[in-house]
Amino acid sequence: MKRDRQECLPYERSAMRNLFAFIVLLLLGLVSPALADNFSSKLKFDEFRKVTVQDRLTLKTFDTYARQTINTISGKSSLDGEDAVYTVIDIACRPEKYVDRNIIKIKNVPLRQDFMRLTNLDATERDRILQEGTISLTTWTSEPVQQLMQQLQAKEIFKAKAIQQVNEAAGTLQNLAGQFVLVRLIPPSDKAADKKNWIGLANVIGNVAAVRPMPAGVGTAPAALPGYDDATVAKAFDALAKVTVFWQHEQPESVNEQLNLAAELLPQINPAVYPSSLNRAVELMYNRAFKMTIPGAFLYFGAFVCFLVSARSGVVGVRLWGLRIFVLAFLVHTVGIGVRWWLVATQHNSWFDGIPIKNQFESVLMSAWFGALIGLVLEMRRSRAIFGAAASFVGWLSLVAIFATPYVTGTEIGAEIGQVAGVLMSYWLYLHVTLVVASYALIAMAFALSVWWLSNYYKNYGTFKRRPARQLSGDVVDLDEMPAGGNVSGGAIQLSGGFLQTLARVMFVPMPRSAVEVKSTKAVSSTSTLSDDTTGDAGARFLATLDACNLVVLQLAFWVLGVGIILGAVWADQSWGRPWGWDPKETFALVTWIVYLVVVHVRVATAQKAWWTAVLSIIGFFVMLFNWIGVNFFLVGLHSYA
Amino acid sequence: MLNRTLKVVFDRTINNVLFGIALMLLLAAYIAIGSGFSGVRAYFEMNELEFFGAWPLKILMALLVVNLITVTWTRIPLTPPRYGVWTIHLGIITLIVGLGGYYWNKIEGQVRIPLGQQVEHFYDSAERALYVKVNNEVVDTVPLTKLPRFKEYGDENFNTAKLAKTGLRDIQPAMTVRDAATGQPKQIPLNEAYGWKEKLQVDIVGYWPYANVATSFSTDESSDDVGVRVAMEDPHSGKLQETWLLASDSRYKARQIAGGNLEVEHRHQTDPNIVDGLKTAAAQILQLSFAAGDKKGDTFVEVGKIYPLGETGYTITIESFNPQWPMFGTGEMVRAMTMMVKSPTLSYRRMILEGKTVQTDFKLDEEGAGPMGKRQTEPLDKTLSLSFATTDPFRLLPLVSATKHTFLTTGDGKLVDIEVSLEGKSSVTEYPTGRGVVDIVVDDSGPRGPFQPAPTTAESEHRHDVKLSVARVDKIVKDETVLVVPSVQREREIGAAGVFQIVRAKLTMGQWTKTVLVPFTDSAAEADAQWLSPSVKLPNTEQKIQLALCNTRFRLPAKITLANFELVRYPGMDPESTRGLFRDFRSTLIIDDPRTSTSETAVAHMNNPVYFDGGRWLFFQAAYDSEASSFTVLGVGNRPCVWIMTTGCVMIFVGLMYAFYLKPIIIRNMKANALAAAAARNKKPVEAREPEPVLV
Repeated sequence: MKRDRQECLPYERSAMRNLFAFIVLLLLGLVSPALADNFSSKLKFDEFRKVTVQDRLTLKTFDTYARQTINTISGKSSLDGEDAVYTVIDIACRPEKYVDRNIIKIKNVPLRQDFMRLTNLDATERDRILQEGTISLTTWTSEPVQQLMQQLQAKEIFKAKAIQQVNEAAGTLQNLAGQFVLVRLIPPSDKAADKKNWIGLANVIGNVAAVRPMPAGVGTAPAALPGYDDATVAKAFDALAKVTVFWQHEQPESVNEQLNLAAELLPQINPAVYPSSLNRAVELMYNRAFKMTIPGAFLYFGAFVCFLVSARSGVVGVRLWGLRIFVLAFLVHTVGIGVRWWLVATQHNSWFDGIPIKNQFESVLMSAWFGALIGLVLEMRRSRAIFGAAASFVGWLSLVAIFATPYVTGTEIGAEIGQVAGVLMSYWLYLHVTLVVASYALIAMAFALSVWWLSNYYKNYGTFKRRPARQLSGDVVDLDEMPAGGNVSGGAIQLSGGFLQTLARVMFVPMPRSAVEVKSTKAVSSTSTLSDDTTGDAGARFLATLDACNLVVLQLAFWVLGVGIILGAVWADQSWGRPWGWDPKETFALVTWIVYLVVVHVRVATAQKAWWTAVLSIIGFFVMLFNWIGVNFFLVGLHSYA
Repeated sequence: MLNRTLKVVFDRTINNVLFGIALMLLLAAYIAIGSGFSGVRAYFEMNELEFFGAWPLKILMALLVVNLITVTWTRIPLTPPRYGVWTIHLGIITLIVGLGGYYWNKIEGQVRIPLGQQVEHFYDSAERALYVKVNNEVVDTVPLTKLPRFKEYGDENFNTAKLAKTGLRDIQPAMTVRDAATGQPKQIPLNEAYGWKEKLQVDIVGYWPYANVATSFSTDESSDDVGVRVAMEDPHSGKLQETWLLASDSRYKARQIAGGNLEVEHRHQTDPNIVDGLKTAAAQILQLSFAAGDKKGDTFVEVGKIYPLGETGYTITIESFNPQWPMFGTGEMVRAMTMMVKSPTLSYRRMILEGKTVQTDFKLDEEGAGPMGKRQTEPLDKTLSLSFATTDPFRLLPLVSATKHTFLTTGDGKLVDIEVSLEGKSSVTEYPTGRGVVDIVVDDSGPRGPFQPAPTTAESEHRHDVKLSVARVDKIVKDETVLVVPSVQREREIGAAGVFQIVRAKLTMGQWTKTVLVPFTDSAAEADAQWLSPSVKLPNTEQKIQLALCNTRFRLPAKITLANFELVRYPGMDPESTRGLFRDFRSTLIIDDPRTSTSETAVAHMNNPVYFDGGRWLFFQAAYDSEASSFTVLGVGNRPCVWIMTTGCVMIFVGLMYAFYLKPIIIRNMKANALAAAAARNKKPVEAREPEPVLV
């Protein structure tokens, strides 16, 4: 039954609105500063946004801290189009502006619906909460709302997580409102009892002579913390205290002056433990560049288009440009991973612990990277444009997905650098997860090739159905063989000269005419004895070439996934006491592997090898996707952090 | 004809690649359904391990092995290009055989080890058992392998008959004794062990996977039991809170009420001499011994009272008693008493510690001294020697709360309230009518819940004067019913751990029957385990029987002592925090091997188990005490057939590499050799071809 627009469920509208907002934000992102008020437009945070804060067990720049804080509270990256740094300091200095505003996000729609039970709120407000999913701190902490949440926690225990999300958002706002002194900006001294814990201004009051005499009734000042240069601490304290005062009086020049002074003084408190200015600047740039996802995705897409056009048209120059853009995309992707690795490694003081493959964002990032690497090697060695197209497609889709998911679904997938459960700090993680996510990238490439194969099949035969007669398959294509003869591949092209000459041409090195002569793929063994399509038309032979490429990727995916599963079993034996526990993540990985095991066997047992390969490869992709993403949301198991 | 038919069937099934593919798809479907649809497992009353160890999967696996062997033998020639396929198929068979052996012999469970203590047993992760106590001593453990897991059974659900299975009916608890003749342990029924005339039989007649036991109290003329009803008004909500105390039931004998501020206990005592003894004992908890020169003596003291010390000339005023005083320097917790001492010439404050000879004096009225006076390194008055001891033979002192009220119901219908505080103060109040009101103070300034606003006012605002109504209830009876927890209120992890399981057991002894609810008890065989089912007096015997449901207990291959437990925190974490995201959990274990009488120290931590007995067993870090880090939970498991499985995996990997990457090279070489041979024979070149795959 068709539903009209009015019947759209709230969460559907919410998702659509988020998608729309995401696109609009992307388009108008640069315009937003113009919307800022007069005071904020005169503020300059260039230096202060680079100071370090310890937050959520992680050292980060104030810029990162501010974005995360605003995101935790409101589910958005900014409020009123303002710089997150401005908003965070504004909440700290002028909390009265925010405590009554509906800025706390309630992500869970059923929880919003529970607000309809509250009779102390008028109907309009209840509808607004349902529609917008926001609430003010004052309303959230009110007695009726808290009583309702207590009831829900007791009677509908599955809503505990949703309530926890709002509690965290409200708690973040509450802890920040008027509490700039609690932000952990001060590095530990060399004589601190805990040399890894940063502290807030409130903790160093004893070191600041000017504020040590406490007002009557407040009690005695805490003792001075050992190991600090009191003069430097006092100057930093003074600067930040003045920021608050000048901010409240809206004196932008004075605020800028004190913020810059604080940004200069804070690293001087203990330079030995303070992150280097290079580290902080790189973190800032990394975040500004969307963690290199959007630039990488943009380039991958360009490469994909070039490869696709080249594969179908046979124009060598386009393929070369595809390779060049692909290499560029891969470099950007690699830089993104390298920078992240470095930033995480500085948190742990260990390159080993910093390998970025510990959450969904990082695993997709790495998966796509492995796919791109393998695709690049295959494309350079077995020049077909087909491998390049599949790998660049996977790279583009993956990077767009990890960038967009938090905005579209409101789900945090670990894009921000943070800590993970201790069980993940194992070399087995790197072996197991690296291989598994690499196989996932290969499976995605095989999926792309299979869809491509099926669309060409439909174009060729006018149906998706399996044709009864035996077909050409990749078994009759020798991808390593240098062909002679005409262009029989329907566009699949090959350069002579192999890997090195392809590389040379990608690098714009001039090559002698004979070496760069374009030759087409032979594609079909002349001795094939297949009953029909034996010689095949160009379309059929292109299908065979695609199938041959698909087989190369599938073989890799099959054994890489198999080894990944086995190494996971070794890790499980150490961590959970048995190698195989029938955990959903394990079982669906096995189901995925069995699907490809079937692919291997249908190529022996059936006549329509390519058709079965394409169909099963698509099925296998969706099983893999369910295992990677779906199991986390729908099933509960030991891999709950994966 | 028959042979031909059999041959066709054989070729289309066991000797058929498509049949093998169908088996693989069925396997995948079975696994996906079993893993993805927990409702299917629940329908068949199986957890993951049971579902994936069930006969359909075993049959599928067996058929796959047979199919693999047959197809490999008959259809794949053992030639160099095919070595890879052979290796893979043999590897898969080896892996399946290894898996079969692994799960057939697998034992796994968990053990909780308190800091500094040694354990010898662990509890199975899945199998449950009925534990039996006679006169408060565990005598038997009966495995309940057929006990359901997911659905509710009982008369209320009209499906009690489904529990009529071997293993759940006609259970006859037994006791292990040493055979006098052979010296070997043997099991004898409890009636033989205790000399009962009738056999004791236990039948499981109800099961609930996630429920609570609701208890209600009423009066019945046929009952001769006595209890106490305690009621107070909640200072916040104004609602009446009611607690029942029943001396005859260990589960209801004592309670903590008023948010943990108060301990209450009921004792029924008909002997007036013992009642008098209890009343007197309350005022004799702190016993002070004094010596001044040759004059010595003892006296019982209470806080706030003044005592002359015999003929010594000294008078003391007991100021305070602290049951948890951290000693200077060592931090050792000791009981401390502080008093003001007056002699004809000297007046000072003295602190003495139970069981210690040290006496710390404080000089009064010294400038710059604290409220206690100036602490002296040497006693101001070496003539007077004081010491004290706490004597609490009737256990009237509170264990954890500040105050304890022991309510005595006497044979003459009275109710007596004996109040003893941790500070050593005591009072005795008699209520001749059996009813009374006790004034108490409730302090709710402790830890706040997530929705309570943070305390903003002075501490005194959190102290509330509350009236506690107490009433003796004669002819009391207790009814227990099962309260099923609605599915929306169930926590998945707690449900999986099974801590809310309840069975209903019917005890039969001749004509006598009694039905009891038996809730799950964690680590039931340990000394500190609180069994939640009632103790039942067996007819015509001197014994009481009590049951508990718990996971089956097995002996560990070694004795394990927890020497140390360490939470490794991430930077930025509260150093006192015991909850949150941790970098590691480290249990330092001392492992005593009983076979070799050797001992080794090892650390089990995240991803790093301790292997024992040459890798046949492993102990891994599974959980910890998130409240106080006072215990660790180790996972325990044996590792049978691991090497067979490893061999299978290696064979599969090697075979895959051979088939995917070596085989094409071999075929290419064969082709080149054939062409070269043809050329050498000066014949028309013939392209060597890979043999056509055998199609089915």
